[in-house]
Amino acid sequence: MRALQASTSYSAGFGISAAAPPPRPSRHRHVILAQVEPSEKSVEIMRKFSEQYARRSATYFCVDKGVTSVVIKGLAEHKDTLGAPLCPCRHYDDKVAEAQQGFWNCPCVPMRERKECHCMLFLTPDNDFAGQEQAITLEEIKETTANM
Amino acid sequence: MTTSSAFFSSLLNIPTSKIPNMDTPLAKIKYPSRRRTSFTHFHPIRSAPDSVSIIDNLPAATSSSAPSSSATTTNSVILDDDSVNDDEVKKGESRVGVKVRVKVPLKVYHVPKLPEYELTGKVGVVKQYVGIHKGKKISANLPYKVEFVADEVLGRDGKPVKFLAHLRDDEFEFLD
Repeated sequence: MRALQASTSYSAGFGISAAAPPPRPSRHRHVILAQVEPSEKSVEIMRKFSEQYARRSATYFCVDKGVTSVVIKGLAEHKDTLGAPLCPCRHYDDKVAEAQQGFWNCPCVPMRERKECHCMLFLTPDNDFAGQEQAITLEEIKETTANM
Repeated sequence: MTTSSAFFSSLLNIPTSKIPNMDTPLAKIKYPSRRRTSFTHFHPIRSAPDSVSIIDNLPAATSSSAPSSSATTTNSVILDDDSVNDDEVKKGESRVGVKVRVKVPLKVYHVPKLPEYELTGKVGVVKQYVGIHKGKKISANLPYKVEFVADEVLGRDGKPVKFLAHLRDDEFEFLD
């Protein structure tokens, strides 16, 4: 059987159907990232919470909204996986136990009692990195975390 | 079959040499770059919060002394940590009910009816040690839950307002 594997240039004059196989799409093997994307609903919940808590505690978001966005997404991811928004900037031996105990559930105890947020989500006005805003939109979150 | 290339060359006025060999079906074309005969590295695709799990997967041949020693180090660190923390936990839990005085400058913002409250020098009672929960170690860095009374403000029922504050063990001294 004649395998007509002529390239397109040959078929031009003869009407031979160019059975050239289409170039195989380069299969980028998607590396499974360590963190799965949080659900949009959780991101929205944590975004609203962050805005409301910043207002209530008289703290401000960082001048770099990327920082704020990453933390909000981290909180949303923990909320999805553990049921409680565990502080995303810390390492835990047993996340489930920590979420149940609640010390590091956002707003964590150091934030509630001393207004110390080492994630730089809630910044007191005297902080060098504190901006003027207590609000962030979903678009801002998506834009600033788009490269991840 | 064999005449196919000659056929094309004659019709298209292209030298035979330039016409690809039709006899070889394309399926046989090999892509040598994609051949994977041996893995020397295992791609850490999955999430691994602790480094111990990745190190375990390295084949013995390629594991140099560094990763294997760090694996053992990690293991030993965990063991040591547990015994150290057990002491801490026992010490903390034994101090429940002891009166303490805050010795560092400290302000809290969570007292009801008070936007800011200075805790320095105040005396309170240890209510709980929060470093352990259902037998599991918790990473709280302010493990002592101390109850204070805010004399300056009166609650709804006329009594001074009580509140709890979390403290580190170097922020206060025991009054016993």
